[in-house]
Amino acid sequence: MDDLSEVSEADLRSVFEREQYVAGDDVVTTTLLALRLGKPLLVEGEPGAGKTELAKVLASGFDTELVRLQCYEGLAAEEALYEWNYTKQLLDAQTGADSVFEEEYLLERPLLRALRHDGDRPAVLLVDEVDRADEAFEALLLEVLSDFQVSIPELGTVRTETPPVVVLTSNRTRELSDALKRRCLYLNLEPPSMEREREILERKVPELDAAVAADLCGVVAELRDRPLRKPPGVAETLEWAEAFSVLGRDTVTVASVRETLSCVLKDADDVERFDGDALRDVLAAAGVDTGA
Amino acid sequence: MALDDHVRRELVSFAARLRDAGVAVPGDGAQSAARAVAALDTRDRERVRAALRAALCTRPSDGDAFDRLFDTFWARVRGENADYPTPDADDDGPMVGRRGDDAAATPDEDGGGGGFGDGSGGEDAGRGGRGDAYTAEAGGRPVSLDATPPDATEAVAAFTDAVAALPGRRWTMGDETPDPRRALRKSVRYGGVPMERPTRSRAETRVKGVALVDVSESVLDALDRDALLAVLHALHRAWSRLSVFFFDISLRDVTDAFDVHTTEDAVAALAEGDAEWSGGTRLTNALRSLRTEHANVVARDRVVVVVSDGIERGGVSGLERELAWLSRRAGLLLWLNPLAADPNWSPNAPGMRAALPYADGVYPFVDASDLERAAESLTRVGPTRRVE
Repeated sequence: MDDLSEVSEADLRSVFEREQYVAGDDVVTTTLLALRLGKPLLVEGEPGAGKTELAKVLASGFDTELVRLQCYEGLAAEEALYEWNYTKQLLDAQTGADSVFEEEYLLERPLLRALRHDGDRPAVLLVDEVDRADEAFEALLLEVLSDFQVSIPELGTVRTETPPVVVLTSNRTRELSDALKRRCLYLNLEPPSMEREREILERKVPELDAAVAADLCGVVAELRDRPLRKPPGVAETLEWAEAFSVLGRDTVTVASVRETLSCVLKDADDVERFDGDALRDVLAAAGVDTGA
Repeated sequence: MALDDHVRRELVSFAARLRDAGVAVPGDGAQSAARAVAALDTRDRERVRAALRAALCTRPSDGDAFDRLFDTFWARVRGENADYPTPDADDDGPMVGRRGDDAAATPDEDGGGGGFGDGSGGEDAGRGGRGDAYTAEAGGRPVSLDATPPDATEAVAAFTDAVAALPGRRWTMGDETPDPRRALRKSVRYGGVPMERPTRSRAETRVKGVALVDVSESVLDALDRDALLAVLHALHRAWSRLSVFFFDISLRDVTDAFDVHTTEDAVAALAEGDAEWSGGTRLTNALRSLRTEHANVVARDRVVVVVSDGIERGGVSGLERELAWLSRRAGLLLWLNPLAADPNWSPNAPGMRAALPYADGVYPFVDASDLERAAESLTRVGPTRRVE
């Protein structure tokens, strides 16, 4: 199964299963289509919904390299494509090298590395938080994703026969261009239902008591319904469950929630809002029996 | 697995219907959809739904309209005689093209969907808070100037500088700090000797933003209306992009009216466009409309300036949710409150109390000079909720 465009739905489901990634049918179908059609997958959703994890799971599940490009404001072409090793060039120029624009002076950056990946299977290129990059970078990305080739004036054009599996993630802090969206298949990762979140906890934190896991999921669902500056994602639920597990807390009480609240609420204002009474309300609304 | 002509025709028709309903379907959406469906091994309802959603939708808000129309598409593909629901059938909620004049049928509208029982209009209308001298809904009066508008250019320039000085990450040419990368690159041409010492600075970009202006009577009685219009006009000219919305019991995009040379012209355009000073405030409704119909104007690189006294006549239970969204989505949320100019003011209005945790900064605003003071405070201590 070296050609990922021939992957079957059963193969993909077993990859998700093996990697303990709880994926709904829509995630399986959309990912399968991205692999088969060779189209980039644009994944949007709240922070912590599992967007980045999807790319990691694909890479490890298909036993191939994950090449990650973390986007940020001001990200420039040389940080995404390639750069020359100026220090080495300087040293060699001073010692009389014939040319300092050879392969050995080239520093691959993520986009080029993904194109030149020479494994049995194509690399998984994760363009993370693409909405953080500038519009100019989006245009560059568009060019690379259209032809899967990069032109290096001093060396020639690098192109690939087996394009990488491309996963772009966005937190929707700004609207992406229509041109980029047009080239992608779109997947909106909704926060998981309580049941699904419980399933995720069961797999990822198996040592945690099932009743505690259920209570934590209920409380998180209740918190998500409140107007928070930063609502908790799945990542926060997992972190919280791990905290309960590490601390050996076997019941969900106002005290145990209070002492671990910073694992699930990551904004100081949000944490401050939940004093004892507010937490008691949340726990009661989530149906947690605190014995009070 | 190839598709027959009937399915292809239905896909094209489905993509067109989605566009009519405000879904941002890519230009080649029908083709992508056909390829996606053809690539499926099993074409059951849920797989086809997921495939079409991946190919035809590009925003989370597209989901409702997609789901609503998919059932008809599925019935038609299976040979049933089903008609697509019309976008404006029997609906009180916001629908595509419902808004008047210049704002009609922009592609970012989500197509409403209230006619299919999505329950989006269920906000409680309970009264709360102060400002009882003002009614919840009062008749409007045309926007006009009482006198020659004051010159707000200087105040706006100071405010713009203060906002623009908040840190960014992009580098550009300048003399702030040495640029080692360019130094090394340039030294190659001198055989490795760094002959030049280039420098760089943090890029100063022009500010982009959104102004949400409460035009209810309680606000307009507390500030200088001419100054408000002059400030909005000057901001529109000074900032790289400024979307201006008036709100009372609904939200109106009046950006185009400010795209003129003078404040007087802007007022004339507002009057022509039926923008009115109004009576009541439904802050929650206004923010919800912003989220559902104009979400793309709010982004990480935008400064959102709200001019409001925070007196909410529609209850605040949904307000916090909308403010949380606005605060998450915007780069900076500044609240200009005309009542805060009173030294005895404290944020007791329920709407203002609800807004405080989400605003990055709260400043008094009665006329242009307050904007200068806000700029001074922003420069000195950064955004603050402590009203000075």
